Amino acid sequence: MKIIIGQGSCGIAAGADKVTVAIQKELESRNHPLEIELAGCCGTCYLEPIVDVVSDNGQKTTFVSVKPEHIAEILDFAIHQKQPKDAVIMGDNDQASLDKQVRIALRNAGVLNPEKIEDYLANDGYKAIQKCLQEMTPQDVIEDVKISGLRGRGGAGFPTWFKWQAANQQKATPKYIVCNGDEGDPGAFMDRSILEGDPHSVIEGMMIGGYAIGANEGIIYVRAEYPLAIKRLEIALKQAREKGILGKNIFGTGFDFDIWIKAGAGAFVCGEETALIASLEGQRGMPRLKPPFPAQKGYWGKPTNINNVETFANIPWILLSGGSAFAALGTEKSKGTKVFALAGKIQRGGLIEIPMGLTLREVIYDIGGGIQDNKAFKAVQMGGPSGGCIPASLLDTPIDYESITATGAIMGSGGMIVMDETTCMVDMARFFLDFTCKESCGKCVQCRVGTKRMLEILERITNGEGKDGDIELLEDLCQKVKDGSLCALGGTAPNPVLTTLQYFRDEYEAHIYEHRCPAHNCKKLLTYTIKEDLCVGCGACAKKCPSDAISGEPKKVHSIHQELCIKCGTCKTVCTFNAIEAL
Amino acid sequence: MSIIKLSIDGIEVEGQKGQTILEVARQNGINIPTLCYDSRIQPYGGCGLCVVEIEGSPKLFRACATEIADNMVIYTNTSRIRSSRKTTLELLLTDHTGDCRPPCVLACPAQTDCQGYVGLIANGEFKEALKLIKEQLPLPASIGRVCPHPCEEECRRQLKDEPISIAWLKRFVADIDLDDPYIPPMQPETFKKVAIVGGGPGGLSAAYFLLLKGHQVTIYDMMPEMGGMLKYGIPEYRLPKMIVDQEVAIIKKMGACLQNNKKLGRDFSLQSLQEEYDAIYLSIGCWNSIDLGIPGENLNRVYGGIHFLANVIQNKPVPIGKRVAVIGGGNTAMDACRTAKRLGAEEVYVLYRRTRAEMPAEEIEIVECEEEGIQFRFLVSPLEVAGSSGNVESIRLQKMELGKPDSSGRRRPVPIEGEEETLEIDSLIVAIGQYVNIEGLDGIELTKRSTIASDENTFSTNIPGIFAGGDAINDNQKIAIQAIADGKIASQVIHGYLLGVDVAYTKPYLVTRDDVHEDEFSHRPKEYRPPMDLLRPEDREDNFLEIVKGYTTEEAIKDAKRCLECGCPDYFECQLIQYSKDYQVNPDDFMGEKHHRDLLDTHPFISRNPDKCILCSLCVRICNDVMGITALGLVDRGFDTTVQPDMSRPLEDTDCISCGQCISVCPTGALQEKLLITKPCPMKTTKTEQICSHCSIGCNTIVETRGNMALRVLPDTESSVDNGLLCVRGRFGYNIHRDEMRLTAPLVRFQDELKEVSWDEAIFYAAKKLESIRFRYGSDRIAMSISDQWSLEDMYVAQKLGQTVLGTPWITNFNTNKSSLDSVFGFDGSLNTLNEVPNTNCILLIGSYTYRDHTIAALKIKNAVEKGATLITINPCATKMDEYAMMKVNPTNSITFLKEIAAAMVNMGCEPKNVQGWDDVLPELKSIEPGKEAIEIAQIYVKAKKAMIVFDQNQLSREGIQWTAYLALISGHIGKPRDGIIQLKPQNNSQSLPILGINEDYQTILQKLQDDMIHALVVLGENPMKTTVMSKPKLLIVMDTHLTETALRADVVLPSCAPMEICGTYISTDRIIQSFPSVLPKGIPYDNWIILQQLSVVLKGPIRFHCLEEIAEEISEKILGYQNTLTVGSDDCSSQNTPVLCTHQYNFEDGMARMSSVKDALLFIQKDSTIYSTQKMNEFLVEHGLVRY
Repeated sequence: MKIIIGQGSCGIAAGADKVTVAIQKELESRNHPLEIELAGCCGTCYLEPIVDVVSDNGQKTTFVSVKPEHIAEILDFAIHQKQPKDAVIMGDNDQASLDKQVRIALRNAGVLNPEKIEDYLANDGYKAIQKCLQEMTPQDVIEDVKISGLRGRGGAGFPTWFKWQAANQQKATPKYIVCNGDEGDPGAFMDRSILEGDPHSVIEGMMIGGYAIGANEGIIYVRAEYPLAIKRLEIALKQAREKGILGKNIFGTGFDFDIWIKAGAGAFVCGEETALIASLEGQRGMPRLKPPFPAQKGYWGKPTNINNVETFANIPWILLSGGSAFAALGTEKSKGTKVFALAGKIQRGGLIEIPMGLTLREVIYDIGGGIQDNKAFKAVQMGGPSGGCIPASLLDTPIDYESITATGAIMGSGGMIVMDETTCMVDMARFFLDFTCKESCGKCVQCRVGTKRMLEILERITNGEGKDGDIELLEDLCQKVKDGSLCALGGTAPNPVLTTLQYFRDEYEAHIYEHRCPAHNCKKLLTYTIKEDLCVGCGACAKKCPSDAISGEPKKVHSIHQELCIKCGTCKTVCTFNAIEAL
Repeated sequence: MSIIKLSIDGIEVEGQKGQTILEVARQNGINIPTLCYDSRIQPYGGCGLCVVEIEGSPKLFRACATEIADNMVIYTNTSRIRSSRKTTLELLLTDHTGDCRPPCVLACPAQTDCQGYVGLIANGEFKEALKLIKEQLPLPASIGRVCPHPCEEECRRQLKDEPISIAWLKRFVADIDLDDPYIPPMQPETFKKVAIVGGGPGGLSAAYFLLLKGHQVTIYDMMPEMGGMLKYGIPEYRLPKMIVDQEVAIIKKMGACLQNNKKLGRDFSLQSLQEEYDAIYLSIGCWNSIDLGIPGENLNRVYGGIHFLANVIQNKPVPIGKRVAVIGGGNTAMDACRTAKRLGAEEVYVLYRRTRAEMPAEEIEIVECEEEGIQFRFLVSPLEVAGSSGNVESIRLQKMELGKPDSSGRRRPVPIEGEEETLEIDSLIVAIGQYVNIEGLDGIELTKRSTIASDENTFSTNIPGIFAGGDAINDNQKIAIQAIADGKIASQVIHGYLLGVDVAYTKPYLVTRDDVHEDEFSHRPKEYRPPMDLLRPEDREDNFLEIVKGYTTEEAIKDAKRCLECGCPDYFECQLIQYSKDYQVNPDDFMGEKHHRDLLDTHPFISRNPDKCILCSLCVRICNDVMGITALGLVDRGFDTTVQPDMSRPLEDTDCISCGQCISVCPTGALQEKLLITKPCPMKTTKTEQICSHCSIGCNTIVETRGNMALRVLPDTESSVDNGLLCVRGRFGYNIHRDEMRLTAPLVRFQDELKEVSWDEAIFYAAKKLESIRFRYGSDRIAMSISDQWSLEDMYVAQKLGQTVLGTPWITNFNTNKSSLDSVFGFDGSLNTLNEVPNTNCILLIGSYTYRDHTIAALKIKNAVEKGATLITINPCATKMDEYAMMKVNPTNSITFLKEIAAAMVNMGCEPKNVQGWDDVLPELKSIEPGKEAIEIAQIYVKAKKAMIVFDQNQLSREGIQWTAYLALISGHIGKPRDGIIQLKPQNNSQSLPILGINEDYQTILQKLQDDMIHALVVLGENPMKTTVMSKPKLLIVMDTHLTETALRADVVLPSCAPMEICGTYISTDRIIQSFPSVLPKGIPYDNWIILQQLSVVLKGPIRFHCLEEIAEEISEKILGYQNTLTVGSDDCSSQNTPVLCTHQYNFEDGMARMSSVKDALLFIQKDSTIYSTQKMNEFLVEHGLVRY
């Protein structure tokens, strides 16, 4: 029997550390030796901290939202099979939503102890690379990846085999294989989760890629904001070296390979291949002109292949199960599974992995459990700041590269931010543009200044200062920024604006021409009033109002003087009787 | 290379594989705009201006980075592309903070370049200032007197103290010009005829600009003489009529046909003009006075203001009596009342219906009226003029008070019921406004106000071919400068009309600042205008003498120096504003947050303004990629990205080598050179090619000059000598001693004091002194040193003076360390050329601070290393070159180290070929046990396929040079292309010394001086006494540009020409002969060689040259190998027409090189420059911490 505590960043953030300490203390006090294991996140982040009790016969009971005070009950359950009173066992709905998923990239996440190579080895770990080295030529490997139909999971969806082939055919040496762990999309965290929960899959994937293209050196570029990922990678690399899995003459096949980690300073644009290479070389992370492509001239001018974390995590499974097994999943053009990060106003936020082709409705409602607080679904932002938003009318869109692109959004790295009726779409576009504007490397005029000017226009629209012609100006700028930017950051930055303009143009118009925010979100466009039936005259609002716009006698209904109101919303925040209405 | 065929804008072109669209387009004369491309650096693609369309692709491609492919069809100028470029430029301009043009220029209707001419005046360039004014303004002397100067209203100097006296400064230079008027160059005749109706400022200006374009112009005017209101509307005391006449005469001299006393509608009709002329310009002004519309107005002695003034000016009788009233508050009213006073009126009243505060007249006019005793009656309005026997006797006035403001913003006068007064007067002048006389304007569409309806941008009327401007159109009543502006712009439109093209004037977009606050000028001390000398009020009562007397030269310069230099110094070079004009930008829609950054601008040469930076990154990249320095970098992200010096330190504290390359590539005014003139100001310049006069590389430069000023020295991007790069000396070392007075008059020592004398006296005195020494002690007691900064021709004449006239055997040069290459090869010079360096495989760099002293050579070595060559540096200490070196050695200062290398070579089996004396050397080498480093160097150097030695003649001892040469001989790396030896010399023309045979070791001369064996020393263009301990002989004659340390001790000092003032020939350290023109007017009356020839004449010597070509011819005849190559104006070519010397034999009779055993000696030496300008530059660099080793 053992106890597994989810110790991904999400688990730790939710209090897994305290839970661990509590369990250790409790076990000490009971003087009961029980094996405690750690694991990464299994994706149900909304249920963290999670504690699994695995019985000797392998049966697993999952406790969710565990607090230190539940520990005694959980241990009683584990040791004495005593049913818990307050501690919560994962519900059937949650379990069902897990069961609807197909886990390839996340196959080990939340299951294995990422800090023990033995766990990985016991679960077919490093069998795929062994098979490749011993039974396959590099060309065979590329062929199998081709059959799998795997496309780059970083965002662009470029066929993985094609990149490998291109790098393979380069004559120049040395070659490099780089893992892009610079996950920068706000709302996406699958790469972090994989690196934290299953670092060996990524290492093995890189080894296979390295073998396929002829590289003996791998580099993992991880953002420095992921310290736990870096720590677990370091442990994994050390263990792999100790086992002789990394280093010289691996498995006696004459293949040499090793990997080192580069902690990036966390610039969104460094997810772009050429910017990432510049950053690796110690230069400012700025995209370069292509061609030459990294496969031709990459790191220090040598052939370099860059794949995303999730892509690499799929590779060992594909090579072990065969490309066709992967290709059996998904749609005709989008094979296999894809990990998504569900965030926003969704019931079950976290990571999911599904076969391509499921519809948005299935993901949001069946797996995600629908919208929080029974509000109405409005839109989902896919692909982060480079993507676009998909409205409710398109809920039955199947999730594959082509269908998502057709909506104006992109698959991207798999971020799905779900929005309900209270989200203002203009403000949402403003939020994403604010992000890309700050993350622009500053090289291209259109991206550097164009996004700034677009942001200013969006700001004035959400502040109620929009002008006739602003929508047209935005559209013109969107096109110019797309046309004039060198890399995908600028090329896709206008997408949130374009898609919201496409699907929610009326909201823009309402802001500009009617000076109102249909979602009642943009403060400057709201009118604050006091509901007479709810106001008890406590005076809290009047005390906090920075512009002395609220008056009223004690214990009597107060009122807001609109000409003095600066629309800061403080009154609404402080009113404990929900008596202040913002419309 | 395979040829690729493609189509660009419908033109079939060819290119080579690997070329970009931009390169191929440029080769074919198709201009694709870009702000971030330089052929020397990798494409960057940041500015996005070079976008093009490629058929078959929906994307826009960057031409700078897209390689051509077969059968590409490319469009470079579609509407989509233009729209994209326009937006790009507009976005750039939204965050571009500054003033493209200064507020004074923008305020002037005629856009006269106020800052430009004020700046030129501050620099003493009066003629240039006048030329600049006359580009926009044909009547500066008149306008300088009467213009109400809107420029001064906007002058930012008033935030500090007072505006610059822009108008008076204009008058100052214009008055100088009147004696010998400047006429701009005129275009060839077009045989098109234009009639101008109206000879006032507008008509005269239109005539002037049309004449410049080559058209025939006839001006018709109703008055007896030209000048219009300038002549007849403004009193003599403000604008003397002689000035107007003189300026009109200039236009007449340019070919205008002047038809006076011809009135439209009376003497000719529009129709008659249409028949005779190709175009007509109406500038008829506004000559009718508005009536009061009250009873009694028709009495005698009631005058219209403008008619009163015109009659007085024409000396027509104008009876006014003793008491005169003038109605009105404008300038004409002021002119009228002051004229009346001068005509003898005892009491003069100004009657005005509002108060002084509302008066439209200029403040100065009102003040001067008050000074002259004019009485003001405010808040009165005339009701009736009364009189008897037909003459005025009184005027009845309604008293007024001020009510609410009217449409003009001024408070409206309203009558106070029942309050009236009567004023006794003898005459009345009504100056309440004028209107246009529309007589003869048949068929011309008029406005509601009965003025000519004229298009604002084209000045065309409803009748094709008839144009109109000035006071008579639209809103009428302008100021003279506005009429001039109309005339100028109309002339451009008319010029287009005559050539059959439509030209409409559109105001170009310019970046301006509206956030300027006086704090910005807090570092400037308060300094008011120099007070103007004015005629005192009591002296002007009874005469029409001009009141303003004008500035003196000193006052004008003093005032001009107060200018705050608001306009962007880069305006005339800025590519951003040029493209913005091309694409007719209007960024107003995109305006948002703008940066305004604090600036630490402390570098002595380089001025940085990040607010004007467009982040093209050219500076960062050329500094890093081409110069090998990383002084600049990009900092921060997104909109806040900025270029900062390394680690945000002051630029001068980084590794910056002050080469100024960053400035040369900056497309805007973000990086600027600090101009080495009194008052920097933006101006167009003349560009002349020139050769740098500092080190011996012979870099080509472009010198920008204006008048007598050298403004800047730029690299010549076409130059193969330096690949378009310069070092700090070449770029900024041209005028570093600008603050010191040039030596212009000869000096002779009398009783221990140097006194100015005439040229004849000085030359006679020097000659006689020399003659006396020669007679008393003999020729061998005379010595001469010749500057190696001088031209070959000047050097030759100097040498000839020394040899044949003075007969001295002691001709030397103090600046150059004696080389021993001639004792080894029979020739003192580089056997190879520097352009071979980048293509060799191994470089042995010995005794050279190459980055410091020969930067361009350093870059060629760096280039070689980047291409794969191995560099070994052998220096007394660490240098910047070590960064590129595979091996760096700092050996003890002894030639033993070179001997060790030679010994290691011998151990490797090397043996020199074609050498005499090897047997002398070999035994010593055999006895030497080479160290590890020496062995390693020998192996790398010997085994290299091609290898070159580069050394600095002034950093190695004679013996060091000798052994350096031996290394090349022993290894066999000699006498072949990319395989040989380069000797870097100290000065631009040092190589001419051995070519001419000026090879006496200066150490010998120093010794002889100390031993009192030299009694007379002639030092030409050198300042050895600054750096060398030297005994003064009985007679010391010095010729130099400044009063140097040596000149201060001389008995005779002769001024000499500075480098940019002469033309001639320099020979570079690798024997490239380059001739160059003079770029600046000479600072003294004679060329250097003429001064020397005059000395020779007095000494009855045989030097008799008539021109520089004769000298060159004689040099060619005398010096073997230089035949036919030394004609002035010839292109680059190497001596003996071969870049590599000693290919088969050495320059001795037997063709063998010479070797001999040398005892131990120092390897490295220190030698400082004796050339004054180089010394000054070096001092400056040391003082400002800019020296980089």
